[in-house]
Amino acid sequence: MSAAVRLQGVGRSYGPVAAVRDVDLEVGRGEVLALLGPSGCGKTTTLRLIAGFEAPDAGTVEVGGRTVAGPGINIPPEKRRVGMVFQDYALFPHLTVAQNVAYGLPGAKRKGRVEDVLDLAHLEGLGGRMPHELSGGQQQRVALARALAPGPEVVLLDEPFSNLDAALRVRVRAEMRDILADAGATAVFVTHDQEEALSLADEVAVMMDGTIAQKAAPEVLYHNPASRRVAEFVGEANFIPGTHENGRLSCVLGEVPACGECTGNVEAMLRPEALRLRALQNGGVTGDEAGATVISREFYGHDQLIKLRLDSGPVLCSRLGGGPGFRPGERVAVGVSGPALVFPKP
Amino acid sequence: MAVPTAARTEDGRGAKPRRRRPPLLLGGLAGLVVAAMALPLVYLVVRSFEGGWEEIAEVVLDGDTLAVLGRSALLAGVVTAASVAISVPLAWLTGRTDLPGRRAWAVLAALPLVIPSYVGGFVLVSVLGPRGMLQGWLEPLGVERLPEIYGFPGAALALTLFSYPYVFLTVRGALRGMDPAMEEAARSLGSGAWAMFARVTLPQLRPGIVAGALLVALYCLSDFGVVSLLQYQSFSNEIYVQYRSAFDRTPAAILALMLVALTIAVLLVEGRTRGRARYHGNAASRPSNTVVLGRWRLPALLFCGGVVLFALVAPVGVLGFWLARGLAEGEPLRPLWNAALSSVYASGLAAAVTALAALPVAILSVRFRGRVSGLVEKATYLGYALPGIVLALSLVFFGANYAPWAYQTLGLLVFAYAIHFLPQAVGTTRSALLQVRPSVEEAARGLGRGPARVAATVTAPLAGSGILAGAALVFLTTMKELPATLLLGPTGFETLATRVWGATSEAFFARAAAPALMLIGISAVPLYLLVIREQAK
Repeated sequence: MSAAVRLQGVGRSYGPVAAVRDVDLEVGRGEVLALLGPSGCGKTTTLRLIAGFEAPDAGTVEVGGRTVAGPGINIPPEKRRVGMVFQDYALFPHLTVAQNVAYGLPGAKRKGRVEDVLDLAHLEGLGGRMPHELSGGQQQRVALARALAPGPEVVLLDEPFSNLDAALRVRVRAEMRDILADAGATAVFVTHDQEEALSLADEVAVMMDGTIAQKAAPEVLYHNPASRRVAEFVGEANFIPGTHENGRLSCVLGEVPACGECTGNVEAMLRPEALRLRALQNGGVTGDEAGATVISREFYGHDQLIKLRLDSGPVLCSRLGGGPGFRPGERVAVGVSGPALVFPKP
Repeated sequence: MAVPTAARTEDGRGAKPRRRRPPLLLGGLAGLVVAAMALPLVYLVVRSFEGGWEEIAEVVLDGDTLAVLGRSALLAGVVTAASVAISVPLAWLTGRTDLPGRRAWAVLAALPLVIPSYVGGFVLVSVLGPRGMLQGWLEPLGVERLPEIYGFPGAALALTLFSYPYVFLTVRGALRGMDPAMEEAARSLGSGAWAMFARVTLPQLRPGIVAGALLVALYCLSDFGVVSLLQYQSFSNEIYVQYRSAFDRTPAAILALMLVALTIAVLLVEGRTRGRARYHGNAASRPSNTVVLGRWRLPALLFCGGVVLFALVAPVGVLGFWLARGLAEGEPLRPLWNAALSSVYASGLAAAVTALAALPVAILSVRFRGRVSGLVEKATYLGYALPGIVLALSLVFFGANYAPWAYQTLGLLVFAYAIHFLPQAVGTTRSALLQVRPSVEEAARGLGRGPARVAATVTAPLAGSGILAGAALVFLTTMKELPATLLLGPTGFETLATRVWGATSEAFFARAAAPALMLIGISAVPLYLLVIREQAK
């Protein structure tokens, strides 16, 4: 099965600045891929390279098995069979919802298809409204329906949830995933929100400094980040120095199981939820624990983050369930429940 | 370390105007302005009915009057259509394509606005008229007669050449305000460049086109100089003739009232064309894509060059020719300085008075939105519905009958200017005030400043340049104003405009050239400032 989208060695510079360089990326049919990265990492440029609003300086772009951009080739956006959902939706203000959705359809099969797509996007009965008469979430679904209507090879979404407020965002996110799944569509969406990327996508590609730092399934990305920077960007991470030999790490927290290639003096990553806390009343710490003092606590309801300072100096972060926690100033013993991931020392 | 997503704060869009009662002083001032606006119209109605219904019926139903009505409507329609046809491609070429020197073309294409249409008309007559320059050149070739320039063809040509920039500027503004994602969405949905333009870009530009077309149509209806010079019997020309020649001046008043009705009809039609769509005046967040012209580059350059040649280069060149000829014949330049001084003085006064009068109306309509303040704002647009000749005539009647102390004084003239150009000042002041979000003012109040201090330290600096732009616009249009200046100016009061008029109506082209050039030069200054301001945005 060929990929819906394939980028090979793609680069794009603006004067001396390389916005995107040497990007290789493949999106399988029916897959939802998140392009995740900090602002200015080149993710929106990558999206626009696929859509055809930018032309690459190097490399090739394939959509649906057809080369749409490359040396001597640059197929215009309207001939790429690529749907696009813009950050501000870009609905045509002079057309009704149904007319917006019908825009990309040839005259003959317009009527039935518009109704199907409106149903798919849960917009039944709203076809006669004007875009400004809809709520933010509805506008977003119209934009998605409009992009899906012509049956594109891939739908590209540029920061699709950034215009919605936090409460609405979670709901719209779930709706959108269902709509994409019902349509069986391939989708690439750009976001700077790691939570959004991890929860919505089948695959996440992390972009940094204009290139793909890692592409993996969400859980792989979270537990096995390819570099310290990726680990820091995707979720929260503690880093402690230690020595790694034969799958064992010795560090301030004692002997800990570890995975990773490098050995000797390393830097080990421990996710906050891998740290186990125990109140220290009278007894001392055991061999595979370390003494620490709680500095602060952030309570989120379903979980809480405890910041603590080890007696030996380093500051770590621990994630606990939403039960009773620890107060600042309290003494705790810190242990490890899970393997550490080691990286070479910077 | 990534921070958990924080709730996005509301970005403060669409801050709601507060509904509260305006201070008495503000309401009173705005009321005074509205009363002043209404005065000429009310008096015109009163004056028209002096002869009773019979005389009105007699004048209105007269065959000549109906012909005048038809001619006025025809002229306005043709000039408006031609202006749109010129301006839309011009705005698109200078705004969206890789046309070489597109910024320079944009400025040049807006510049014909500084050429008063009667100057344009006189240039046209002196070049294309019988015994004009063109015939002089062609005579050795055996051309005895040129196609008739007087009447409709000349009037339509002159008005189109010197009023199309109104459409050009509004369409250019609309093009800049368009969200580039809109066109990209159309492209990604399968539209090619032409289909995108027709189905998405053009409908987006509609409000801009309609706004500009409205300005041109109103300009045509109110124009006095061109139709008089080119002897086209439209309303304003006919009113002037009636006023000058007939002993009974009531027919002139009735004709004037008919012209007002026609302009109001145009305004109403414009209101109807806004459909259900809502257009956002959002500033484009990123530059839009540039269309590569390719082999269309040369035709595009020829088109822009042609427009600029006929509307700007040729008129100024012809004026230069007449100036040189006049100087060679010993035409004195001295009296010109007095006229220039009078022009600048009267226009400066008018600009200041108008900008001040616009303030209470604009503040009322922006900060105290409600039904009454909406009506007040609409009332100021009456100025658009009162062509200069009508306004002048009404004030002449009024001054002669009720206010002889004001009749033929500079004060009454400035009053007329202020009423005539108030809509321009209210428009710019309003949009400047709209850009100052109430929350910014509230923040200043929260920091312990009183209302007056807030107005001085926050509102004025933020809105000041917009208010000044309004004043500059009024200055520019007052400099060019002709009919009110002719009818209401104190005896012996000469401005550049009246000097040009006096010389051209007697075909002393060489004598008209110097004041015309000076007029263009002086009005170019505020226009330049306005264009610079718009480009800096």
